[in-house]
Amino acid sequence: MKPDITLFVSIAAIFVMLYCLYLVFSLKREVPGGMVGKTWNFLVVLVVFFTLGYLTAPFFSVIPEHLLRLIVAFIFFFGAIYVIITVKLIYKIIRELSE
Amino acid sequence: MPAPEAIPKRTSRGEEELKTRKYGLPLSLRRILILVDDVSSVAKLKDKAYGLNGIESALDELTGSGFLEIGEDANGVYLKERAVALAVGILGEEGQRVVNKLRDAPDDPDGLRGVLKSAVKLVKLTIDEAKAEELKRKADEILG
Repeated sequence: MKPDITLFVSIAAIFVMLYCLYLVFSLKREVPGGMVGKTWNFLVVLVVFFTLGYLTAPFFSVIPEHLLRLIVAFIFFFGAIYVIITVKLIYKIIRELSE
Repeated sequence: MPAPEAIPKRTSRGEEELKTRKYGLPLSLRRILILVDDVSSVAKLKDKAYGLNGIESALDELTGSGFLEIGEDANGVYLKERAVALAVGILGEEGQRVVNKLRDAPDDPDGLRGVLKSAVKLVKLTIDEAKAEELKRKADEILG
């Protein structure tokens, strides 16, 4: 693992994701339930998953290629699910507030 | 006849009569006018006036002749208190933000109605959808 731009970006991404983890857990107290609260639980699970995935990023150079591809595929897949959930949540909030 | 929960308030004419006896109000009505403190509801005034007869008709008469008013403000304050109590009862500690929102609501029924509507949305989004429905239903009963 030699220090290069990829390693630097990976570490920065981990820190950003750790901040996201802090945010989802601290904001959870503000939304104990309801439409947002229920969806929030999914988001918490996904952010935990992403954090674990991101933590493997600095080790990409030493991870076997087939495993690396699998990790990246999973991150892409759950990333897409995260986006769907977020977009639907925003839509629900907008619909609720415009009623 | 005023509702038991309504809060009568003295008008400027009522205040003037108390100070100057300008309008020559009969003693029985004057006693009731003295009892009105802008805070007590009709039901509470009845308790206070124990021994005095016909307080409701006296309140009607005083309102009709402009010494008292049971206006939107008085009713609004009362409605707001009921709305706050309702929110506390349904939401408990989780509903602190909603309760604060209702406490800051305007005293007039229309303003309160608007704040209640947005409070129900807040509950639906962030606390509990079933509790939001219950709050909406019971708030509608209060506000009519």
